[in-house]
Amino acid sequence: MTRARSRGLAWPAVALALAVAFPAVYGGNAAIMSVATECLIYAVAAASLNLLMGYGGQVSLGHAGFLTVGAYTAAIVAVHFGLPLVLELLAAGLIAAAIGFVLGLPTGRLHGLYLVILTLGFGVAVPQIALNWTSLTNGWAGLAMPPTTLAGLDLTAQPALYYCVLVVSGLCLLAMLSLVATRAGRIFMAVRDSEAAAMAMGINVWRAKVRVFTTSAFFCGVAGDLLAHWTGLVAPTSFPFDLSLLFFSMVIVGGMASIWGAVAGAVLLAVVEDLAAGVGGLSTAIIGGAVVVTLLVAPEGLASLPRALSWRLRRMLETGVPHEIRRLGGEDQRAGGRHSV
Amino acid sequence: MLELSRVSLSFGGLTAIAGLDLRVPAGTIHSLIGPNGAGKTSVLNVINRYYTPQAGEVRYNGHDLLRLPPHRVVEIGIARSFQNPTLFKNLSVLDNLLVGATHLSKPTVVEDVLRLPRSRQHERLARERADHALAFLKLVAVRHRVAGDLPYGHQKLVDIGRALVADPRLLLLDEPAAGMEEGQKQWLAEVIRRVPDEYGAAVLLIDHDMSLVLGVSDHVAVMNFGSKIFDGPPAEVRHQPQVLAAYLGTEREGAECAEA
Repeated sequence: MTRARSRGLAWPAVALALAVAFPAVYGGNAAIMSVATECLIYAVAAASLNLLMGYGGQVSLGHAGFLTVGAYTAAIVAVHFGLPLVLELLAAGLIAAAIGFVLGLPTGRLHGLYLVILTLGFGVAVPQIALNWTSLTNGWAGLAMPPTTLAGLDLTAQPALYYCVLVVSGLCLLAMLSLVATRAGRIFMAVRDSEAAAMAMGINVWRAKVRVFTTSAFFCGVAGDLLAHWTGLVAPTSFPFDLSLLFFSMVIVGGMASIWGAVAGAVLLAVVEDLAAGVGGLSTAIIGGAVVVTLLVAPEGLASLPRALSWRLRRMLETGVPHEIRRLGGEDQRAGGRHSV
Repeated sequence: MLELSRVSLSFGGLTAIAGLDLRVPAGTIHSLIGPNGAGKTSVLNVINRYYTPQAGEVRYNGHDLLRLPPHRVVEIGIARSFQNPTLFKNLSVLDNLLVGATHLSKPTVVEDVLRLPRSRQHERLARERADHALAFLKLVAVRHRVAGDLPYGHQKLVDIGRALVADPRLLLLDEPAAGMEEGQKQWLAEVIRRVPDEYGAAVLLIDHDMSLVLGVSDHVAVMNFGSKIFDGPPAEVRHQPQVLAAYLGTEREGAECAEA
């Protein structure tokens, strides 16, 4: 038990140490710091989408819509009300969550492809609404984020922005990890695996689906707020439909139903996207190629790699003893008996 | 006490249940048997509110079951297992059992995210009940296995375990022995016999395995074509001509079967 727990904490600890030490090495390079910050923000967005897709068994091709809502909320709150960052983040999350709640209401009846179309429409509509609701959004010109400070630190400068994003992203990921390991997360997964059995166990299936939409939108809204600080300008063109597809790809590449997988997928594709941006028209094709290659190497996503690699390694070390026999020893005999091969 | 009175259910022109009366007193093991297509599973699905009968009443300890939505049935103390084990197949055995505790206390999403006291309390209670069920069913060794990867017979036990974690006063078992090997069936019989004492729950059992049914039941009801054709102690069921006819078929009923 303790061994399993300490092994479970090893990866996050390494990731956190790397993330904290990162500016010490690359702090002087503005381009790299910018991409690193973007990676952290996309990690939250991808994880929020994985909450919906991997854990909730729903689909969304419009998650950039929630990101847009979060970003605009950040800009409007900052420009008009000048609220402290914590309240601004909360507002972005809650307003995105409210819209996620409404969008989730039809999920009791809409499944699969119909849900894809609904969320697709949402993702496409949001920038158009932002473009035309001029009194609130300042139309095509967008809203510039006013300089934000937190405890005396100027968040328009690096590495202050990076560290601020690291703390907020870290807390969001921690919250999602906590969620999927408790009753709330089990309800989402139960509904995903069997609606009939979930119902028999006292779960209101429709409410669970609406709830997973709401929760996912909340975290994506927070990511949108962070993104507003990162870009400094929130405009209708900031969040094209491609972004929803990118998040979708991050989830698939990272591995379904894994928060850490979504983080890995987000980092990989954000870096590829940045490298490919210089190639001009081919950048989308390069991202697509990266998705294909990753899935050929790890069909179940990056999250499945550590286990697959360690299994293969152990098998190589244990030459001479077929792994089937070895596996039988440690397990319940009736369970292992005829089915383990 | 579960009471069905004059319950009728049909799908289009097909009658699944025809004016069924059935009583399951608290703390007893009651079996419902009959040939394939007799309407047994439909009875469970009516009790579970998956189906709404066209006529009749279903009452449980004073509750009018037909007024409840399906997800409220477990809250008044009725939990079930499924004919084809309907597990949360990507979750571990332990997590499957933990879901059984969902209705016992209800921390909010925010409480779960922040691990506030009500969330921790729920997790503790769920773990206690799950550990007890794992030990009771002898599933401790497989508790971390992915449920969908388990052999069929084990999945059926996990299905029962999940229902037991829900703390039912009435446990509905839909063909738990189907697909089990002989040794496992004997273990299952022992489990079912111990449920009333260990969990304080009555059992309504559907199965085709006669030695299991006759070995564990206090009471047996036999259904055929949606109607009850016998209701009495297990010792008498073998000698009823109408039961033998339903199972082995007479010429007339054989013809009806062929039509159906």
